[in-house]
Amino acid sequence: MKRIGVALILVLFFAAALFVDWQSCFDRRSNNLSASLQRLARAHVDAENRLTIARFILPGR
Amino acid sequence: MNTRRMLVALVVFCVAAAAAWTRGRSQVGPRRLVVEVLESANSTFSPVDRKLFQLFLANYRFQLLGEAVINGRVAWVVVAKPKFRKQPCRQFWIDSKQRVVLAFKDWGCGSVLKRVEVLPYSRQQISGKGSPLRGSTSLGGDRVLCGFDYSATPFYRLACLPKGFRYIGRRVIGSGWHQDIYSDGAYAVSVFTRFLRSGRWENRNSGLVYLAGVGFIFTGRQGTVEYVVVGDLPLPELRVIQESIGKNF
Repeated sequence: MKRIGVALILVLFFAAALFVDWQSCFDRRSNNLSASLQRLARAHVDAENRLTIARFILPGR
Repeated sequence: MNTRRMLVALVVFCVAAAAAWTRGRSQVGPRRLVVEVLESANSTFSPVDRKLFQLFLANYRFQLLGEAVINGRVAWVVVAKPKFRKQPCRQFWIDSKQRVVLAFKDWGCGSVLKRVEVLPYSRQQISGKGSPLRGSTSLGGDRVLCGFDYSATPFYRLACLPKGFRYIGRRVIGSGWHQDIYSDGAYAVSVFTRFLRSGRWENRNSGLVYLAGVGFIFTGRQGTVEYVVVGDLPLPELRVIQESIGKNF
């Protein structure tokens, strides 16, 4: 009975772990901004450098 | 006698006027300086280049603040102020001989100093990683989106854009995201859209954050589309874009 209880707890624990959004936990811990938003922010900065008059001013563009 | 005096006075006036006129002609105005810099930086102008050039000249007024020395080179200090809002604005140091930009400072909204660059320029990245761009880059035509153009993009309709901004183009970035870029010549607003396909939202929470060096980031969802608006403009102007996307999918 005791063993079944321990096994049940372990199964429930691992089942719960499957439902946790670990990726978002890590994202929040790293920069308080999801990896997706950081990527979009980088794309925006890239656009601001390449698709504004910055492209005339900054060499190598 | 009286006539002779008048004649002398006329000659003196003409000489003084000519001197003032030639002096005015020899000094380069800030707008002329900026035009020379932009023209010298690019020998072949693509249609997009020309559009950005015209947008920048149309949406900004230029002021010459004085002279400065950067790395031993004499530079004119020129500030570009937007016509339709107070911020953001940008200050340039332009080499007085070679007409190239030696440095610039960039102020975001709320007078936040976003960026200071002394050139030669090293590419700035937010987190030091490579550019996330891949896929095609398609550039659209000139579209004024304020109130009457509802055919701008296939996914959504913008009811209004901030004054001076125009649609520049769309490009595809990874993970199903599309980026629509709007610009006033100097700054950009990006609208990212993505169809929910695999049943997983990339950004779970709708909301607003401010990221230093980038600006405001709005995230939201409408039906099966998630969208993100990024830009450094006064908050009410960005909110108009965000609300108009939310309503018009």
